[in-house]
Amino acid sequence: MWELLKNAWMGWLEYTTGGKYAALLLAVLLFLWMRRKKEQKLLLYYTSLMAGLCIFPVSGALLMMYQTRFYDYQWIWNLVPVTLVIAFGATVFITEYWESYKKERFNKAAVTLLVFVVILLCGSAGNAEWEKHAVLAESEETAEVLELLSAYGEGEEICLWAPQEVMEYARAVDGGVKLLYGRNMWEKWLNAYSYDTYCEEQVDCYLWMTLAEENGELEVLAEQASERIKSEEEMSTEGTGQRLNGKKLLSGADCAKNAAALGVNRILLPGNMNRDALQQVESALGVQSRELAGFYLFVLP
Amino acid sequence: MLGKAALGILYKRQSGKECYWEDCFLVGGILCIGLSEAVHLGTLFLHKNFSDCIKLFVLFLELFMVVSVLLIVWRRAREKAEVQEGRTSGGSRQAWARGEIIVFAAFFLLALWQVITIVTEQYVYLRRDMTVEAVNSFLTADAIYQVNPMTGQPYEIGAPLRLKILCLPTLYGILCRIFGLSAMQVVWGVIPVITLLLSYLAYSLLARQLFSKSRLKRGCFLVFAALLFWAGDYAYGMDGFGLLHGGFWGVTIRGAVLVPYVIGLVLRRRWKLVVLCVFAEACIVWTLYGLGACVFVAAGLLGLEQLMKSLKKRKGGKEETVCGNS
Repeated sequence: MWELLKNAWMGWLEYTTGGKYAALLLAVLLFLWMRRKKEQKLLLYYTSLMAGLCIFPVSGALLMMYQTRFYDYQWIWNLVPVTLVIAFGATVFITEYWESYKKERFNKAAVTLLVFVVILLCGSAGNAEWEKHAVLAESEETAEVLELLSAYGEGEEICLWAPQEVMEYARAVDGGVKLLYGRNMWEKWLNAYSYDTYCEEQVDCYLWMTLAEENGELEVLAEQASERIKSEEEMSTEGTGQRLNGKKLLSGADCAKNAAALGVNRILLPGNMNRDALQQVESALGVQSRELAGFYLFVLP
Repeated sequence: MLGKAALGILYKRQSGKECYWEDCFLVGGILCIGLSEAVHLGTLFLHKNFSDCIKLFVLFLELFMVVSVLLIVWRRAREKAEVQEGRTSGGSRQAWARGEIIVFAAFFLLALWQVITIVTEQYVYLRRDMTVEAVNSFLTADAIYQVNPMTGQPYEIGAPLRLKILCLPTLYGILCRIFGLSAMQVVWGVIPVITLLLSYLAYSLLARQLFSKSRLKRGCFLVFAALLFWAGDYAYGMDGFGLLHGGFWGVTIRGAVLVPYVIGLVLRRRWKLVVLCVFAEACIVWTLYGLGACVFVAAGLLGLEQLMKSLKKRKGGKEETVCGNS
């Protein structure tokens, strides 16, 4: 319960950080309450009550429980007609102003513009802070790679292990492609959609590939790789062998062999891999690599 | 057509229960969700192929369409006869003022611009979502939730039942097959546009309810709603964010279409349609045993209204007593 309360409070803070629609809603409610002639009383009372319940952490936590706790805090605001009430308040305000100053065209235009600007400033004005991805353009690159891949062994079912940029859209582009691991490897939230989990070898493959993508390294320490992914700090790799100072060492050759054992028949390694690393993987798999769209491709039998 | 026929059945000839053209589209959309849920559950629990599911959906849809056409023709004939007998009169259409034309033109431009943005830019928020992968896995494996959408490998343990019973991926998969489009085109391009338009229909109905006497105010309301959607895409969970970057999510359909529609329906006292919305929400979003946002909003509004009435009554009673004593 404490965790839920904390989530509700943090959720409210987060809800009010990016934009100011919550503040705008409260301002509109105040305006509607202050008017002598109260229109749409039911809507006004309901919105005021629900907004209060969503803001107050205890009732917010209860509402989160009601919405099955699976969804984030933000979604309890579905119960509050935010857009509806702001649009209603703005319409009442502006049309009343127009009626009051029928002949003053300049004033009317200025006030209308002001209301528009207030709304835009409270929102993002079309420039949202979150990192936008033009998914169609990004998935096109993956589609090109998959098309080139399909030329090797036509009609054969592909089971792929590749850098994240390819794996991310592979299943969206082509449902026929199987993957060593999916997006839920790095987007943990997606694990809520399945009871299946990944084995240690799959996680090792992911860790090694993530660092190989960045550094083109031969070997990485699993713990460091894991840390690196968590903290996004730079790391250096040292030493060879299966273990270093008692810590597990991930090598490209081992990971490639594990991937093959798990049924992978196409491996794409990043184009920035160094020669030694490539040769080790080649000798481990007994297959020569070839260049394909900026990657090194291994076609396994 | 489906929506219009359904409205005809639900509110036959009740006075004061007239429905608008927006209702027809919204109820039609809800019925499509209901139909896809029925075939989805049938396919899932009877372990049928996804292609059978599509056939069943198309069959039912065709059947319903035929029945709808017949019902509409029959109603039209009846209405015509009534007009000829002079029992009802055709409503007179009011001419559009210049200000109204400007306001509605501004709204249409904003809405059109949003549609173009959705279709061309496709800034989709993919985190926490696997709809496209799920649709692709249904289409490729020809089965519902037999393979893990994330990897394409058969499930070892499985997926939660509360996820499996939701019908949106099935509906999108059916649309992919019927129109020969890819899952990406349908999920990231077509569905968000439909959701956006349905949302505007719901808001248009609300505008009719809130500003029944002024077309200008209705237009202003819609312009503000469009502006709020556009500027409100700054954070996950906002109406505008859902509509512009995740129109295919069940939560977006709930928040931007069903909930505003339910509010409008409660204000208009269309309880049967409220029930339809409640069922639709249960088909697309994980809810607490079907008790989702629609039930909450409807119950909240109704409860408050009763409270207001009883308070008013008590106040009136007291005043009467005071007047009687004096």
